[in-house]
Amino acid sequence: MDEKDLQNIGEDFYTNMEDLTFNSRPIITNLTIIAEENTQAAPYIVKAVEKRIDKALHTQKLFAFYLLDSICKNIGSPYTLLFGDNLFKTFTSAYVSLDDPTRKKMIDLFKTWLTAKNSSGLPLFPQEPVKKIEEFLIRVSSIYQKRVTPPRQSPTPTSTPPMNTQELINLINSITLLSREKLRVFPSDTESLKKLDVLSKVKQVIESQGMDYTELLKVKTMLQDMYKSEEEALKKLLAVQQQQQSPAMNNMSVPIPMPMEQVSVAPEHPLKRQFQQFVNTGSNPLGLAPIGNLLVPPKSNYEQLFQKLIKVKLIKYKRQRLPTKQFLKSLLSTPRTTTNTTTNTTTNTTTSTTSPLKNRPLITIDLSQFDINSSTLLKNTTTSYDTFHQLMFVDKPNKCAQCGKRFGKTDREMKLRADHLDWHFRVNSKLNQLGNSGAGSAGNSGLAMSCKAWYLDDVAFFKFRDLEVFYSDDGSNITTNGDLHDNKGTNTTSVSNVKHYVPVPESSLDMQTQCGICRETIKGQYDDDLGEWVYKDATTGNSNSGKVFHWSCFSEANPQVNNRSVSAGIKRKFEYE
Amino acid sequence: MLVSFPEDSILTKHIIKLKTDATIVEIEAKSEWRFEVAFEQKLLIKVVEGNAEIFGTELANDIEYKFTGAKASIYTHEGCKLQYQGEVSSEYISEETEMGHYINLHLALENIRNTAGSKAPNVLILGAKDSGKTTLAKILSSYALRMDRQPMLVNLDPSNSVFSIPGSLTATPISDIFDVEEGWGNTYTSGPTLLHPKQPNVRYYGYDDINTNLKFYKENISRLGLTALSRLQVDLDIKRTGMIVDTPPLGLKNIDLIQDIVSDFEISVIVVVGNERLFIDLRKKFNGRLSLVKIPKSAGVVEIDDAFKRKLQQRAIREYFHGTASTPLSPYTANVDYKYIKAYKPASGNTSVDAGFNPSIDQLGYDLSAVTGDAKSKSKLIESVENNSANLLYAVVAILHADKKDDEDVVARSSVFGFAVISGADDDKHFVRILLPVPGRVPDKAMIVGEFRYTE
Repeated sequence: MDEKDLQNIGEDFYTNMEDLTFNSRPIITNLTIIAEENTQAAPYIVKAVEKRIDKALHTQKLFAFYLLDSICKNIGSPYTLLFGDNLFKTFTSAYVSLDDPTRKKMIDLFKTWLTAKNSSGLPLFPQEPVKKIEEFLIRVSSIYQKRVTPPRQSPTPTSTPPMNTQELINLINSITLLSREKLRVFPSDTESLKKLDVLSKVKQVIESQGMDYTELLKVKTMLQDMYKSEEEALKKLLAVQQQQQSPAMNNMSVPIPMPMEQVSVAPEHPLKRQFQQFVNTGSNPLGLAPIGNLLVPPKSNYEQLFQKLIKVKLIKYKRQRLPTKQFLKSLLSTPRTTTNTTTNTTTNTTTSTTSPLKNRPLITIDLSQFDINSSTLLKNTTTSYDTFHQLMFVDKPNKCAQCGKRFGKTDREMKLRADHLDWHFRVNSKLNQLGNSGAGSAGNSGLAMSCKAWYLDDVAFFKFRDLEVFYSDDGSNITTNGDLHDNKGTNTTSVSNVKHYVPVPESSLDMQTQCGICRETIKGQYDDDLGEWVYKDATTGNSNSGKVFHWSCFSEANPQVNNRSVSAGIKRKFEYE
Repeated sequence: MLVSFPEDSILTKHIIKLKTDATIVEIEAKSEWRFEVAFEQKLLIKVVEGNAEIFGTELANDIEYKFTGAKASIYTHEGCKLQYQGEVSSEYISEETEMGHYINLHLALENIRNTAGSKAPNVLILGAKDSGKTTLAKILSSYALRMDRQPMLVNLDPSNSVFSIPGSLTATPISDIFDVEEGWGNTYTSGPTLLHPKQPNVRYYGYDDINTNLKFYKENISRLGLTALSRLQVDLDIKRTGMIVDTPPLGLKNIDLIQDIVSDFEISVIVVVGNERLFIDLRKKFNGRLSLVKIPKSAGVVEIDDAFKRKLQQRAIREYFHGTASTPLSPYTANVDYKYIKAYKPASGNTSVDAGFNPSIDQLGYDLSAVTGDAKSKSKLIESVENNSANLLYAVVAILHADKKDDEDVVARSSVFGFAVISGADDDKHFVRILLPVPGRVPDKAMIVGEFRYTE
């Protein structure tokens, strides 16, 4: 296969990836398999994936990352190395273009990279790009971490159903009203005129539905700030007006001159003071602290605000960091948070991102020294013991208390562990159940308690996947009896198919007996399938007394066998025969 | 002919109270505690402190493990404290373990599995009798499993009972931990089990010794290899891990067989345990075509005498039908007319019908076919067995997937559907009593009778 062919593989791969417009496991699995089968074309496949990440709509980039993740985790080298080269660029450039929920998913994904190991226990990706991404995320972590936390901490702002634009428009209308009012009082206020202009533009943008949720949120905060400041400004203006008439009536403790020309900056002051108050007292009765902050950069330059909104929308990558930060602070503090908790969450979240790295072993495991030749094998080095120890114990700290199987620290492994424990629980309760009703009689011919199955044939063996059975459902269902030879390949049969019968004892002369519970006669019948005389739908229960019962009578009398029992209609049906 | 050992089943089915006090054993790091428990003895072991493993499988802490009829060793990587209760035939602590080499080997295999572009290693383990081959195979599988891999463990030693009864050859994907008490663990043919069951592919050869009918043995190996490799191709978990092939004791004289196995299972790594001569000879033979390494024989291996081995085999058969103490099963007995039974036995190459049951004659038969070429014997791998009590009584039969009306060729190639025991045969009334693992009628399938016999 020459370069051209490999290149074609890469191109085909890219074409196939265009189907990845939604989060589809089959497609990802399929592409992963293709990647695995074409490791020789790895460089081109890697390029294709990177290109896809770059070119995909920002709503679809995440799925391409999931593919990248799947390839790296399932196949490993050489993909991990090749992706590693550009990983920082791929990740960050995509990250900045995504919306917040998706960013969270990206962060979740990245966290798995920190702990994920390839099969030999080496970190999944080369250290360097991962570290750079880590640093990048820490740098923006005050954004992303808090963005993640508020939904849990403060339900108020985000638990409200997705913001409708009407709310914003109402807000704009109120601000417009306020500004109009101000304009009415001070007709010379040109700033207010400008502002009205800007507001109408903003309104248009909102009405055009061109903004996504996060952008709307930002706009909302800004508008709320604007509304408040506007309100304050108006009050102040009126107060100043009154002061001019009767200074004694002015209660404002801070002397702020309010000349009309400065009306545009006026809103800043009362809020700032309030902010000062808030900082001093540590309380935040009005939840306005961040607004004070917010007011510092944008001042009251509405033109600038609008510009920013436009930028957020159009060239949002560049500008996003600034407004988001402020937006977030406002979100966090709105209902109840004090600065203390804010910093707490900041530190908490940052440590939680970095801790996996810190906990990481300092020695990187390089297996390449373990060659497959007799001389290396016969060496008794401490390195091999250490490596072994690292792989078998340190990397897998969670030991199952029941069977000794170990699990690692990654989310995936914790999930496996949970499944594993569930499995133990199910099997134990099942065995207890069997033990109560069946083990006592195991060995005598009565209750058909054996849950044996046949071996699979070659074709079924070829198709069998152990892990699918483990994690699908019970896993032990598969063994619950059944005529496998009648339905080859499908090896699951339900318990209710179990036939209940008692062979007619050789000592029996009249081929009939009495049910030990309802005293009705049970007649022996010849069963072609079994090849012998039996009492059908009957059981000896768990006694050795030789008594025979209708299965339905028996299971009614013994609730613990009920859940494995057959329908109650059997007895009736039998009587008609 | 192998005679069945009437097993005192009470010993293993019920707990015998022993008034012995618990003994504490402290094992230093990188050492192992070796112990032997006879079949009539019972040993309870508990890990009190630290981490311990039996043949690569880690033990849970503070859980009692029961051993009966076992020769095993508990290795600890960092030191541990054990508590045991019951009788042991022998027990001692040794610092001279081969675990260091096994770990090196495991890491080297892991390195290959990780190396870009290279195929996961298919490992063949060769060595003399009692050199620790099976132990090594178990440890390597366990270690691979502990690194979240899924190896395919292949047993080509018919005297071993790996996830099946003796006389069979198996390929088993190891998807979860071994049952240290049972040796290997349960399969899907048992009921609900305490540990995840395994799903083996089983072929029945029917004899303890591979030389009894080498031709049929080889046929089974190549069939097993075919199935195992095709599964490996499509099952990515296994494909990334590779196979681990355990063998009967093979030496220089079996060089042809070794070559067959290498090609049947696409072997890429051969590990020779404690046989320098075989190592050198194989190096000449394969000369760089595959990786060849040697590992010294473990000082800890004990000789498994024939009596012990027979008991293990009988226990494996009993457990197939009756389950274990923790998960008992009740098999099913049916009476059927002779006409429902269609049994074959491996063709002896010798014309005498009874020869199949006589290992010494079979040995001769093999030599003949090897010398005279396959001209005559190639035509037949198996031959029909007449239904009579002499041939069938107490015989362990493998029920095959092949239909009883199928051609001999098809039957000879078929894998095993399940096992049964002919527990009674009445030549006058023309019927057999047959012990089946699964209730229902006797499957309409062809059967293979080997040399193994079993009575309840």
